[in-house]
Amino acid sequence: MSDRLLVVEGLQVTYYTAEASLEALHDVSFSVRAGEIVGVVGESGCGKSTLSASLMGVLPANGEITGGRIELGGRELRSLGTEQMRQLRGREIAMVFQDPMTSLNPTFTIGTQMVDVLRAHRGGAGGGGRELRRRAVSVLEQVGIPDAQERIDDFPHQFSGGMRQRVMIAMALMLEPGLLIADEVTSALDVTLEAQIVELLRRLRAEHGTAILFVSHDLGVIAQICDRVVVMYAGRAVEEGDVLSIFERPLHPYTRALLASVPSHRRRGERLASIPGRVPSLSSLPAGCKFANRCPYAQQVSREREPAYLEIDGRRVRCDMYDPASGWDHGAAPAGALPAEETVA
Amino acid sequence: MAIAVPTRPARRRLVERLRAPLSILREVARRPVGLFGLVVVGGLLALAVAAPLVAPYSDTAQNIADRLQGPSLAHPLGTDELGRDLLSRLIFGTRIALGVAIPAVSAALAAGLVLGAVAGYVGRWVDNVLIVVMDTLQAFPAVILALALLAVLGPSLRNVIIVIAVSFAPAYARVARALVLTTKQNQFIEAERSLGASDLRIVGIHILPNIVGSLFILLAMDIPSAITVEAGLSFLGLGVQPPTPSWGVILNDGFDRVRETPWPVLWAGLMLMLATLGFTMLGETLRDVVDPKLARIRRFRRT
Amino acid sequence: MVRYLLKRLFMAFVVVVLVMAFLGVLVHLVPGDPVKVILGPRADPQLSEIVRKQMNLDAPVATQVWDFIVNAFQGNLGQDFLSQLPVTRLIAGVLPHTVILALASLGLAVLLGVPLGVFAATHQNSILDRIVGIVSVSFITMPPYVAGLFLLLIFSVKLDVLPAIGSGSFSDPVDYLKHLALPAVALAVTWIGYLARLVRASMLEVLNTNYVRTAHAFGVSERVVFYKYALKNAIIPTVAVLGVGLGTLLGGAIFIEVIFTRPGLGSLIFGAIETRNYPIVRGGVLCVAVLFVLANLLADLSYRFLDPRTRTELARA
Repeated sequence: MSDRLLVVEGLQVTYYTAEASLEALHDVSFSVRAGEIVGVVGESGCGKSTLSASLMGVLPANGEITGGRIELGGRELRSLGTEQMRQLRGREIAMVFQDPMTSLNPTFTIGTQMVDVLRAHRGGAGGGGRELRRRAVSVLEQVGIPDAQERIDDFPHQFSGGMRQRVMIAMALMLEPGLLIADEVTSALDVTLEAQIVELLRRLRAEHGTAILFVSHDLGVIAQICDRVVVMYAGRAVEEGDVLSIFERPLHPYTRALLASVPSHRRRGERLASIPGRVPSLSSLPAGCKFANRCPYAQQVSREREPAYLEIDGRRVRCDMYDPASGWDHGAAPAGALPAEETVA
Repeated sequence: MAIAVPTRPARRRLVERLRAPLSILREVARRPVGLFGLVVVGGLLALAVAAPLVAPYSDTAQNIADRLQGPSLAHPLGTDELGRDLLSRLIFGTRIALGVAIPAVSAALAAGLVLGAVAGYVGRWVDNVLIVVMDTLQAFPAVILALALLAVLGPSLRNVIIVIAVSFAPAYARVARALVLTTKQNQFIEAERSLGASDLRIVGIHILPNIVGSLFILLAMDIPSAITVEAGLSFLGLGVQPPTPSWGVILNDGFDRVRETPWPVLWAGLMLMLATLGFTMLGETLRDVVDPKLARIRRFRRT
Repeated sequence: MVRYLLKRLFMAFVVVVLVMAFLGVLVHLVPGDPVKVILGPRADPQLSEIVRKQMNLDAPVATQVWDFIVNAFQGNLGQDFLSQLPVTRLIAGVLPHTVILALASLGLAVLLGVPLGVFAATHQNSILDRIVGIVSVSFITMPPYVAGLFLLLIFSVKLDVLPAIGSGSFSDPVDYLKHLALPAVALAVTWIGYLARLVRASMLEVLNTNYVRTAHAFGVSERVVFYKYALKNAIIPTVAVLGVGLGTLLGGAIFIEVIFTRPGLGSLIFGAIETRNYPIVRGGVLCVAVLFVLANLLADLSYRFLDPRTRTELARA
């Protein structure tokens, strides 16, 4: 337990709008060990980005963490002041954003931007401008930017999309944070570039021991790179486990449906499966299990109150089917409901 | 499979748009800035229309004995160098200000719209000629162009309207032309044309309603400019001629006697600022309200 | 880069030629005898003859326009009717005062407007922000002549601390500056309000971008984000606007020069209109238009140069 770098327990985030308060995250709990790669997977709108933003402390002005705790290296982040939080960002926890095109300032060279970050954390100590520049160049080389010495004086628009993403990763690594949050970093890239970035992240974990929180909606990439996976739906964590278990024996109906909807070469000639219904909007969340209206196994008990997030076999699931105390009627279940011996191809 | 071309929605949309202005006004009034603009503009329009009824004196009634006085019970804003009541002059001045600005900007809108739309739609040399003419007109600051034109036309209220219209028209022509060009490429139009719709019908039913919205907003924002330009030209003596009580004329008369009484300059200046403020606030709120709505209407059209 | 520059210069040149053609043909656009248009219906017959000959009004219109353009490029804008002095010389005599006035106003507007906008952005939605907003709006709605008259009223008439007439001479800089003060401020007022609003809006827009979010996420301090990143990005659209600004300043300068009886291009044109001294009007307006075109060109080029995205395109061009 003491090697857990990040502990998130019961996290709750609310957005305040003119019309209503919306709960974007509710009772989200998971942990990340040092050097571990944990994937966070879910559809758009499930709260992945809100999760990343709240961990970094960069929620928009109308958002607020309204419950739970976040512990990074033993420190409770919610109790930190603005200045302390600022010092943390980049140095102990860093984030790489999805859209490299707009995430870098177009009117400054990447060298200037990188040195600014270094300066923000080292103060005057740690060398003058030249020394900082050297550090920036060496990090750029590490992520595979050719001719880093010259290219450091280029502007963001002079880099290709894949290169820009590497620049962002380089910036994130400069201060050697223990935890790197990769928020949809491969979503804007084609398959070849995606593979390169995945390889880069793997190398970082191997060489620097960096833990990575890999946020994505792409199951394929998650399967390639992650050690463990957290599945999110409508602002809740609904399942968590090591990557093999999740992919071979998914417990939660949503996870199963997600995996079933991925086209597979083994199921050729079949119709593409999709999950019927839609994700409920934040302003009109139903009571009870949020997935119930789309779930083939939902019963009345599930619709009445939210299932508890329980541990089973070293994994966690939020589903009445696995909660003996929930009152879910196993007798009434359709065939093949519980995947005790079943595997999803 | 034939492309379903919804001509009915276009007609329906026109009807809906007639109902739209009332709901737009209601939305504008909901916002404090917009409400302020509506009140001021409404008030000015009312003053302009009802001037003889509202003003305590006529705009030309002279009373030399009472000249150059400050505010008093008999003359709430004071009198000018000929003993005329300033309040009444300013109220009648509303007629001049609006009576020049509104026709001038409307003329600019109409001329610019037609010229720009035709040039954009027809293209080729007609378009090139228009661009050249507009570029030339826009190479002058508006006031300077107005002065040059007034130098040859001679100062008068009618000429001021013409001159302002000519100065403002190029902007509308450009907007109309640009919108027509982008709409022309819209596949919807291609579909219509492939079904034999005539050019006039295409322009009238599909292109014009789309751009009229943005042009009206430009109009609301240009009226305060027009008021300011007219008052400025009249102040220089090159626009409306005294004794017609344009606010600019009142300013000019006041300027001549500024060392003896500050009041004409003060009140006329404040009046100008108030009018400008009211129209500008109204225009900006209109733009905020109508813009998202325009997008909504356009989306409806595409189904 | 050079090719782009040349292309823009050529386009500016074309516009100038068009302007000259327009001014050359202007008297003929109005129905009636050109001489009567220029001198008015009750023109002295002797003066009419002089005018007719001097402006070559009997020649075909195309020839007149051509001659005017050719002469203009050689620096010959004709002679004025009343004193027969070369128009170019008259303009050159007063132009420095107008240019100084315009530049001083622009400088004032930038010096006061930009910090106001930054201040409002850093204190968004506070009482101070609202106050700045109200002040900006009242400045924007104040036309230059109203500002000039109000300032004249307060500082010359009531308080008598600053002069109301003339420009002073260059030999006494302090006196010149005293004469410049009110006119420059009056002309700057509208633009102070406008720039304050523009800078505030630009900065707030920048502060909502993804790259500012990145800077925050990497722990860069608020101060650096604000004054280094946001400001630089917000300045760029401001520069673009300054070109147009110089043009409207030139237009507003007429009012200011008349109100403060200041020598300058504006009062020269105004006086010429009153005395129906057409060559001065035509030459003066041409001069203003050329300055406007140049100002726009300059603003456009600096805007493109400041934005690194377009700068590298230029370098390749």
